[in-house]
Amino acid sequence: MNMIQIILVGASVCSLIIYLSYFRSVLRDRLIISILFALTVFFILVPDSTTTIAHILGVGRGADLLIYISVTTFVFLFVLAYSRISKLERSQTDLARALALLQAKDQTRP
Amino acid sequence: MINTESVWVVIPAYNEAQVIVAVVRPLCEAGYKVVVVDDCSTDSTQLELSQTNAFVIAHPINLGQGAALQTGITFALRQKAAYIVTFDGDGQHLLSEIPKLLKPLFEHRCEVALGSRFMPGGRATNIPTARKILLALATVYTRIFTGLNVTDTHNGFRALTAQAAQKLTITQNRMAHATQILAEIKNHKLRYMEVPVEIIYTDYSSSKGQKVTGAFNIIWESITEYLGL
Repeated sequence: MNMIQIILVGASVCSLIIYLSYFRSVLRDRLIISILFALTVFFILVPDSTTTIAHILGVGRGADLLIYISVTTFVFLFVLAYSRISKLERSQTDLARALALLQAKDQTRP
Repeated sequence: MINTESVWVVIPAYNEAQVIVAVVRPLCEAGYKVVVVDDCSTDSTQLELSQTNAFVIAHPINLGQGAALQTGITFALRQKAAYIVTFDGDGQHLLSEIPKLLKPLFEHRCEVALGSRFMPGGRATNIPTARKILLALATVYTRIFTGLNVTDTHNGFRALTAQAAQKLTITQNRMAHATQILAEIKNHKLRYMEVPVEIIYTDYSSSKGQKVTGAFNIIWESITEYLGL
């Protein structure tokens, strides 16, 4: 493990947390996904670039760099999906509650 | 004497057919308005409740104790409640202590009265050791997370004024709601006080309580809520 890797991991984690807490928006989520997708396509089309960039960053092989980027992407996408599910759960709760309260109105009150 | 007519007791219930009538009937007879939120029980809880004078709201799907509490509070507020008491449906709370919780509210000394079994004067009768340890840990965690110096962070026995209840929003459906209520008290700067109460553990209620793994879930849910997930 070298210093740049530690710094990158630390920076990535912090960025993710700060982003999620303060800067989320659907547009920004989509921008990030688009950039990651564009990067993926780029590295597929110009595979040798991964080696060059990897060396600059202090990572051994281009393949390693791709793995790091992939993992970051997957984590990000999973976090988005989890967030989506949580929003759905909240909507579902609101809906179920509205239904329960509506039915309570129809009951003959004691 | 307390005007019990404006006091609404909100009881979240899930599969409490065995004890729910014994819990609810005395409350109705004491003159309180009672609303039980049946969180989609799979036993005869609702049937049992029809023998009482309590209002019953039935969740169409199981949402969790936090959600049931919010539903009950929303209903009580719509019924123009002046005070709301949250009360467990498993017989752990004593109806005779409701006036103790309401007193500081009536005297305008606070807007939220939180029952505590761990303060001088409070009791946790027959509490299983494992539960005691779990609660101690939960208390430490919640005090750090919310910054509130509360001795009993997971006590379902509370009283609130209608204004305080209106400001509260419980979005944590399951067990993390207790922590969220405290966080809400802090965020809305509600004046609160702890009041010693007795919580009675029976074999029945102990078996229904939280498991140790619940603590992990509470922490996870609190953190993801904080991150806006």
